[in-house]
Amino acid sequence: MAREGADPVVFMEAQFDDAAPIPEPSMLLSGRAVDAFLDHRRSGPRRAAERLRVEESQFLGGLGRARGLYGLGDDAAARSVLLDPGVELSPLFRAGLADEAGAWDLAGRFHDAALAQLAAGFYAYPAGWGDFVPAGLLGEAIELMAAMCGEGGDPR
Amino acid sequence: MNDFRRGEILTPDEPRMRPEMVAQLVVYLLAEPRVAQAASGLLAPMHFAVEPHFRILWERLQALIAAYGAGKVPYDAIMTSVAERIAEDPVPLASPLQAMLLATPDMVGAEMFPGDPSSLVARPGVIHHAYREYDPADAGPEFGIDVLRRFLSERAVVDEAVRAVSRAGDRLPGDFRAAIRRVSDADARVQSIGMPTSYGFDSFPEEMEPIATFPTGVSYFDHFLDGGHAGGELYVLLGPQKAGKTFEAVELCVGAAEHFHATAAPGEAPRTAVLVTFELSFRELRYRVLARGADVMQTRLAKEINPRKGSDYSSRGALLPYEEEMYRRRGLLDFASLPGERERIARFNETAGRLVRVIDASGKDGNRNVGYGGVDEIAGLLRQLEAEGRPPGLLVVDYINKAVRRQLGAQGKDDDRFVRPAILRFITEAIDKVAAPFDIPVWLLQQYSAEGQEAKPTKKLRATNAAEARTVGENANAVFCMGTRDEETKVLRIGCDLCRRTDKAGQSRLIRLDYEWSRFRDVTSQFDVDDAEGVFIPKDAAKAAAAVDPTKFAPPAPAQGSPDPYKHPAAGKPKAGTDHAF
Repeated sequence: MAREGADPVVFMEAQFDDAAPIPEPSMLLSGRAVDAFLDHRRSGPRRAAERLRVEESQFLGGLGRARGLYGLGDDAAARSVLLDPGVELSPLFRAGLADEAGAWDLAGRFHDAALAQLAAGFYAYPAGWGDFVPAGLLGEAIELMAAMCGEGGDPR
Repeated sequence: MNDFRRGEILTPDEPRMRPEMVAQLVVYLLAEPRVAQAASGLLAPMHFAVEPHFRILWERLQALIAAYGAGKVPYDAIMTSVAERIAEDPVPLASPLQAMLLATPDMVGAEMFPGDPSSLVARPGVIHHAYREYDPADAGPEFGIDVLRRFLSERAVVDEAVRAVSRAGDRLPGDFRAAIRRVSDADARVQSIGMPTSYGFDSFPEEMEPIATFPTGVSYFDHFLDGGHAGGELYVLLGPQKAGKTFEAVELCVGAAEHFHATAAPGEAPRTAVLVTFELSFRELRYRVLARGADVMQTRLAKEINPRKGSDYSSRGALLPYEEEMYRRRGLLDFASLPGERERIARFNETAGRLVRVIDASGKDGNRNVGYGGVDEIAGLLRQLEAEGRPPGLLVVDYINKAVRRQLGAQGKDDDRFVRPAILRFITEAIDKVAAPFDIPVWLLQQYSAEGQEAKPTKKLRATNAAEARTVGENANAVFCMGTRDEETKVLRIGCDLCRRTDKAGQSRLIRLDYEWSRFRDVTSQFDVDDAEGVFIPKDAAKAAAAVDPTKFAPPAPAQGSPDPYKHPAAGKPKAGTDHAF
């Protein structure tokens, strides 16, 4: 499996991920499962980019509602959308946009959840979201992943 | 009192083709392979009913094209074949007509059949003209295609329609509708003449453009559809009874209306989201629309606000506890300046609300005038909206089965054996008569068969579980399947069973209806699927927070607010309610 380029540890984690069925022992060694996992990893950045697009449209929809329905100004509307748990935005998106807008208090509020999200999809987000991932958060995620992979390990 | 005869054309669109023009068409059929190819399959010998000589020529030419190929039939072969065919004909072809086919230049000025003055040849026949005198530089095949199109419009469409009406006499025969459909199909085919029949990859696709989509306003549909729905596409949404299909319909319409409002170009009429409801009446739907669009709790609208009983909308400066909680969660604390229900509804009415149009085909509330005409009626109503300055931008039909049953009932055919073909026809017509011509996305809602209705909540239902017609997905661009609801958690699964534009087929999300706000929330990150038991199990909060992966598309868990803050202390003076416009 390692020879094929799939990290056994990450592969195991993926097998126990929320939506995946609990693996049979034979599945762990199955070439098809490894291929599927590698494909899943390879398509990660694309899927992350698609997700960013969907979240952007969710944000813009919420922004329009906040401005139109509540009569809020641009900044207040943007803040209210980022804080609104009913708008389906991920913590990383909220933190990223807040960071970009210089709303440090908001960015801080989503920091921990955003870091967890970034670490969980580390192979996907930096490539799929590009500069939208705050540099500081990316640095922290790299440190976190390096620590998890052991000294000298490649977090990616 | 009309005194015209049945079958008579009173004001023809254009004069009938002159004989010379028909002769010119025949020259093109002989000389231009493209014209002959375009005519094959459409141009029948019977279309030359008043030109028997050309009927013979076209019969023979078709046979020879099959043997030699279009444009390769030798001159001698066609001359011989036509002459033989004329000789075989039990009804002799008039001499002048024979001359119009077979005369050669050396016969000009002489009698083709000596002793028969009517066979005096004034000019060479069409075969000679096509083979010896035709010059494509004079007028190329494009002109020939135009002539053919016009000829067939006259003979295969107009004449055929006249025949159908004439046959009808004073009573409409049983096959009248079929005849009209045949004429309509023939018209569509005639209008397509000249369009390429095959396409290749021999040039760089400069003009290829990505499909323009716009957000649905529903995160999981945007995810399944890679950004949103697109004009000209048709989507089928299947769901069991009481799963919340109509809530989805409302979400799609309000989401689209918000988008149309936000992106309307100055000076242009913004597009309208149209919901055709065959189940709920406008009166029943409006609560859902206002809950989704104006953030007013549905319970308040449906049960509490009743001006006659003394409860009224909240307003700025006098917010209700649920509104304060709603604003607080969004970080908005200046309650005195924030709009109450009255201001929000008024604002919605002025903006996105006016871009939602409900066509009430439920037959309730005394309105029994709409909903019997199937897709044709819907297309007509959309055209009417367009004429009123409300160009449609989205159509949602809730739901197909009722629409079809209503239409069949009006035709006296409300019988199960007619339903399946009628459903499939409804879908194809929705594409041909609405999605494509209006260039708008069309969503059709439909229920499941009994088997699908009773499936376990965790079962991934498919398009083949649809009621009445298992092939509803055949012509759809995408099919989405809502599962049955887990009564314990109120969670249900929504999956993308088929999508021709994206790679999301097979993916699903877990959603839960937030009834008060008339919308579904994606709760995938909060629940595990227990396939063995057929239920959804809440995850612990810590795992839910960590289970964020781009491929899983999991939004953060919404704050779990207690329902208590939303309880309304009904108070206020009676005032007028909202009218039928949002």
